[in-house]
Amino acid sequence: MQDKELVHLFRKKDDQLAFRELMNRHQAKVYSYIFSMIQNREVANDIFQETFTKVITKMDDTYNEQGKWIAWVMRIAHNATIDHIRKQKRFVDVTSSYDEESKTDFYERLPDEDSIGQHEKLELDESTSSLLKHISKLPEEQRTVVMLRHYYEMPFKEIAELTDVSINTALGRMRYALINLRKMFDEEHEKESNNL
Amino acid sequence: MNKKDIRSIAYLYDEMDPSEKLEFERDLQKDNNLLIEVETLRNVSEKLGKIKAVDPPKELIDSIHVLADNRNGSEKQSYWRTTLYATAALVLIGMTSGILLLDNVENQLPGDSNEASINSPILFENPTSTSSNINNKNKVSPWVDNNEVIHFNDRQQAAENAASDSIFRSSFQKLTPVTDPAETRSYPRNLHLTGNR
Repeated sequence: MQDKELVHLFRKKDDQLAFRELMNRHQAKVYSYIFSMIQNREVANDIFQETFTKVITKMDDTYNEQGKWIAWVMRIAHNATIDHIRKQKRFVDVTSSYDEESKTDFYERLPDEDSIGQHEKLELDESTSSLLKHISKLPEEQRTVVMLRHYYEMPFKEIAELTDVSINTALGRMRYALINLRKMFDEEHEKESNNL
Repeated sequence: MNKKDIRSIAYLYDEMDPSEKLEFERDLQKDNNLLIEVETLRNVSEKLGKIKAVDPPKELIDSIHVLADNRNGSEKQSYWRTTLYATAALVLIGMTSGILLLDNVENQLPGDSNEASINSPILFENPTSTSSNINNKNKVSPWVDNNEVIHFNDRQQAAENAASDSIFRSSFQKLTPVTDPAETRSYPRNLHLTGNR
């Protein structure tokens, strides 16, 4: 049964099994996208819950059955994730000035790159954890395109629509992301060679 | 970024038309640098393909299912609430209109001429009567005094008459029958005249 039919069953006949089937199909990809963007379990859980609360409460009002249901869900998840990232950025901007007490500037107070998502690393396999660590260093726009494409296999046309850019911009961001990731892999490889 | 740069990504992710793809593959055979770029990007892209999906915690999924269940419950509740309110509103409208109808019927009952004459306009009380009769009997001639108070002559007269009648009636009620005629004779003797005229 297609997503469209399941959505129709849930909306019109309150079919809970249809909703469970929809969740089973998409929950891992939606959660992975949020988690890869945020790199924090608790925050990812909050955003995931916020996303599906909106999905459940607004499905009757704002979802048009002509469009893909999952594209609509991903838009909600993407907006919630970007909202969170921007709020975090604003928070960092406020505290970026020189701290008299600790006599440190913004850059000195930044957490160590390796400590980002350290507790999550334990739950994931090594290659995924390593890849996510590199992806987290990409600029937000490039990270979004990479995750939407690789986790969701979303066509660039849909990525462009979701992120409100042209398809050429989306393709360009992907190219820069791959180039940047290649540099990171090379640097990592070099470090490992030096350690040996 | 020019179009040439993004072609390698479009090719890599299979986002080209068959004709574009054919043209690009011809270019790849001619241009070694382009071939190296595509292979490098493919290598990175394949590494990204190793990323495994992360499952959300089970309790999180359960809480979302509960939310979905409640959504249906709350919708049903709101449906019944709406139906209840609509029924109550209909009953209220029915009762109000019934009361108004009954009231109108009572007003139109014959034999209650006083009320009818009060409710009807003065000038149109007797439509069959001549205009002179109307002028003589029911004409209202208001006037305004220095204090800008409107007076209606005939109504004022009637009000004054009614007032004097009520004074007369109340004073009449105060009279008591004479029981001792001797006592009444003493009154003139005790009469004191005060003041002058």
